[in-house]
Amino acid sequence: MKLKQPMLGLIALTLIFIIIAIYTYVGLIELGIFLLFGLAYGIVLERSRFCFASSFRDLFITKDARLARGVAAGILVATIGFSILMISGIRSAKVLPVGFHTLIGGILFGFGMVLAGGCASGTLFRIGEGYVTLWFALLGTLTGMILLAATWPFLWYNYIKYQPKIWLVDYLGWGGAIALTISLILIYYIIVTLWEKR
Amino acid sequence: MQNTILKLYKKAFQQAWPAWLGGILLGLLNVLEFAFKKPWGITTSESRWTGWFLYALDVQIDKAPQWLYYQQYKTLINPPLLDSGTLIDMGIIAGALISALLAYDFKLRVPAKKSRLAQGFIGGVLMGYGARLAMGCNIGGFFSAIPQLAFNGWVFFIGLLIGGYIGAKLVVKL
Repeated sequence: MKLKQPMLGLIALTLIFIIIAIYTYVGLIELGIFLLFGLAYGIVLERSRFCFASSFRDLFITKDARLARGVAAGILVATIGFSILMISGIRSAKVLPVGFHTLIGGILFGFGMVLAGGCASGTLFRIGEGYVTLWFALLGTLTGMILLAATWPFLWYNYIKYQPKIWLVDYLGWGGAIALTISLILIYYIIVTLWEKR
Repeated sequence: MQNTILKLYKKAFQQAWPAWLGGILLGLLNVLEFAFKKPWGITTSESRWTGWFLYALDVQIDKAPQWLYYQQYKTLINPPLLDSGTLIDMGIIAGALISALLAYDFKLRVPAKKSRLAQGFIGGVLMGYGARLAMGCNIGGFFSAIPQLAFNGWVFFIGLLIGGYIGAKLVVKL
């Protein structure tokens, strides 16, 4: 059984490439590329056991900041790349309304991911690794989404609709927004490193 | 030659990659995806799955005002196989499965304590509700939001720190 795993892996990989080929053949190459992106994310997440839930949990339980630093590094790289794409006008930012719903959503999500043992991306890659607990987490996630959708009109019309979309560039200009963002990421990086050594 | 390939294979697939490498690669992939079309996100499409499920049960999510959420997120605009976010999510599961298989590391892992399953489910409910309340998860609302220089990414981050701290204090007691 054990020897067969890489064989099965190659077969599954071939299947995915056949699906991508089919998308390309019917003129939907863009969707094939999205599947390829998903595949790449999945491989990197699994290989590096990259979980945001663990990045926060490890920080508070074992004072291990390796994942927290990895998260900071990823955001730093993306900030530089995204900024280039946005300044050159190739892409524009999609800013979300911000308010107490953002904070409370973050608290619920942060608590839930540590309890479940996987964030949104962590749940998906651990499902692929065979963790049955995370299958239940995904089922719970979908249930929670139906609950949110059922309460959405109340939340939207009474609160979220009126909250501002705050894009740092509108207030600080490109230089200020990028400098502030990168500084805060570096401060987080330094704080978690000092916290680890304590 | 064969030895070199075997060594490389072992390095790539039998030892875990360091977290910093994972983070940088995910950041780069996110930049590529944004250059290609849009930043990485996960839960918008997952919430569409729930819309499709309700629609299959004859719930009028396309018309009824109480299902405004699904109308705002254009849930029925594409069938599942044409929804780009669904392909990303499915790709992640497939990629992780393939990578675990290549590393001889796939195993059906049932927790020894059955209460872990309930813990996973309840944690999931909170994640699903919280992600869509904030209109983005740890990816769309954080990992992709801060690089877009959006303030909402930082507020969600503070929420994650608070929730993560409370969660960590609780799980050590469970």
